[in-house]
Amino acid sequence: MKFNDAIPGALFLAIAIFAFVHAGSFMRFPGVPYGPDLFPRIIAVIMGGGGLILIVNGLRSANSASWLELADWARQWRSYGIFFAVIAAVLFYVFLSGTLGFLLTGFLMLTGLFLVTRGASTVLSSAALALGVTVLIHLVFVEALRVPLPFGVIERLLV
Amino acid sequence: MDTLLAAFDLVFRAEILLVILGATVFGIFAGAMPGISATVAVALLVPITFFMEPVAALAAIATAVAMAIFAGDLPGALLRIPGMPASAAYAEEAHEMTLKGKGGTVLMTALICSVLGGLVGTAALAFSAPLLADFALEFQYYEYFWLAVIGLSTAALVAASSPIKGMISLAIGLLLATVGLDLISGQPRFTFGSLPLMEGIHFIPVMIGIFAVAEVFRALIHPPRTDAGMARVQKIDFREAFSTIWRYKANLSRGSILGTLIGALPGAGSDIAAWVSYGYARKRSKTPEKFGTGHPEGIVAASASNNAATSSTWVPSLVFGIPGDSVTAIVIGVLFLKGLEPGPNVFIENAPLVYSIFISFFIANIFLIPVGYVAIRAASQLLKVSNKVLMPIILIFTMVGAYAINNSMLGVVVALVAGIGSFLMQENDYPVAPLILGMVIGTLLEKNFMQAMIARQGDLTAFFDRPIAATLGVIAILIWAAPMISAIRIRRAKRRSGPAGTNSKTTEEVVE
Repeated sequence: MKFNDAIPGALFLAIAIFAFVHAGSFMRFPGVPYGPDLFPRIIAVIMGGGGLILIVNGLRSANSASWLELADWARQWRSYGIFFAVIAAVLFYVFLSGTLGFLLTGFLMLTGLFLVTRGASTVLSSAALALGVTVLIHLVFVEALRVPLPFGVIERLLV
Repeated sequence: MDTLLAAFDLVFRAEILLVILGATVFGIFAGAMPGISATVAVALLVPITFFMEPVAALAAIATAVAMAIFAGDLPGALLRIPGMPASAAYAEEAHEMTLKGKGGTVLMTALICSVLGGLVGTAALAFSAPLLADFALEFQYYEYFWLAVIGLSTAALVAASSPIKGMISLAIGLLLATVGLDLISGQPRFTFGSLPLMEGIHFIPVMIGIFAVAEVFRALIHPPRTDAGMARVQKIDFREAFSTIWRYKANLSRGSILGTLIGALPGAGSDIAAWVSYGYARKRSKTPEKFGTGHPEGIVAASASNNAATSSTWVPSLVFGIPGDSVTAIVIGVLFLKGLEPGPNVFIENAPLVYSIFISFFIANIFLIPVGYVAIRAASQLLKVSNKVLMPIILIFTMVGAYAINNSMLGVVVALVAGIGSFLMQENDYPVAPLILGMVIGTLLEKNFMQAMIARQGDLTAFFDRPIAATLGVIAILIWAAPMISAIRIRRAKRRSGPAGTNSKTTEEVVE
């Protein structure tokens, strides 16, 4: 999924302008000639300059190249399915692990993701694999490293 | 001598040796998987090392990298898919040898050369780093400022395929580093009134996202290249492996030395070392026409070279606190987390710790022989692990790791956002290593810059007053000028050859 250089260029220019302007609001100490805004502003100028060059490049090549070039994978719906499945899996974990606990959330998330990558016909092996991995991570992080992973339904039964 | 003994005491404990053994196995596995580069391996390892003492943490990282660099040869030789960029230089050649039925032998040759190269690089690191540190003790913020500029510039401008994109990636990293409370004035910056942002953006979740989460997207979305089932069990002919190494011992030593020197340069790592050594071996060869047809000469040089570079690349990191590549950038971040500020003072205040790192490197290289041998034997099974299984496991691992740093879901969200961003950046040919380097060194760069500015009331000539600072400054300016000069020269040449095509060419292409 390749964008014409002008699109990210404009994005970086916008970020740079925002950072430059926003840095003006940082408090300065009276009497110190260089405040906390100096360094971020220098970076913003570098980023903005890079953004401008990208915009110029992008507009120059706009006649010959398209605005969005799709690689082979980007023409297949399956790729987008996987892309959003990964994001959904992470968000599922972020929002539900607080109530369900690591073991249950991790197991459900992994099973779901395996079904997406390996195909729906692999329910049993996917669930078994997910169970093994979740328990292993629980052993490494909770039992060995003492990380308090989210506590929930199954953890309560274990204690 | 006392320091060395103290360092031995630090390393030769059951738990440290166990950690090194564990990291060896992990590194071999990670390196053999085409989806997992040494950087991804380290990104996955850092959350675990977070809970270890400094010696164990650094030993684990050093070991895993050395192993991964060798293990990248396995899929390179058996499937012609280099497991690491560092194996790319000779994957073709090694695969040709596999087709001749010599896959096991060439891997054994590469294994021994890797160990020998790694030992040379480690020796160079152990001898040169303390000497350089002595020299660096006199550095002030001017010298550190320029060193940081040189380190960042080479990563952004020289190592990247497009200097503009490298520069933007670096700028993103530097801006991210400014989020939080300013070190000098104590003022909040880019926090937008959010309390968690006051502490700044933690670099570990960002790094996990940029390397590991992005790799999950890439590996799952990009179609598989070759069928892993093609890898067969390989016979190992020890006699032939050893006689090959003996025959090309000059290549072995040239590769080790070249790798050590290249690794110590900022911005150049084991992959460049391998390419250069392979090319040089061909140039000096009596039979250059055999290269590319399954000839071990270049493999001897390059596989020694990339392992030598993995050790010596720690030199600028430990001595100056300026990382040469993304792996050592992560190491610097880990050192800061452990309350150790890398730089010449570490060699005085924490000398046993530094020496224990060198010793760990030696032990790791020794461990590589048996574990590497088992890996060559098991390679055909190892390579059957599919990305469809591996990547979801890596994903949940990254989430637990990003969470474990602060016990906060914010880390997981940061890792996800960084992963999506990194995936899109890599799709558009933006290098991501400058970003993480900028994020790690940004604070140091700004601190030295601001102190220098305030001390001399903004007098920019102060940056060139001292001889070493002036030399470093000139080097930094040359690094910045080189891409511009070459762009102008190429454009002139294009104009002379024909005005018709000039306008449709982008500067981007001209720069390249």
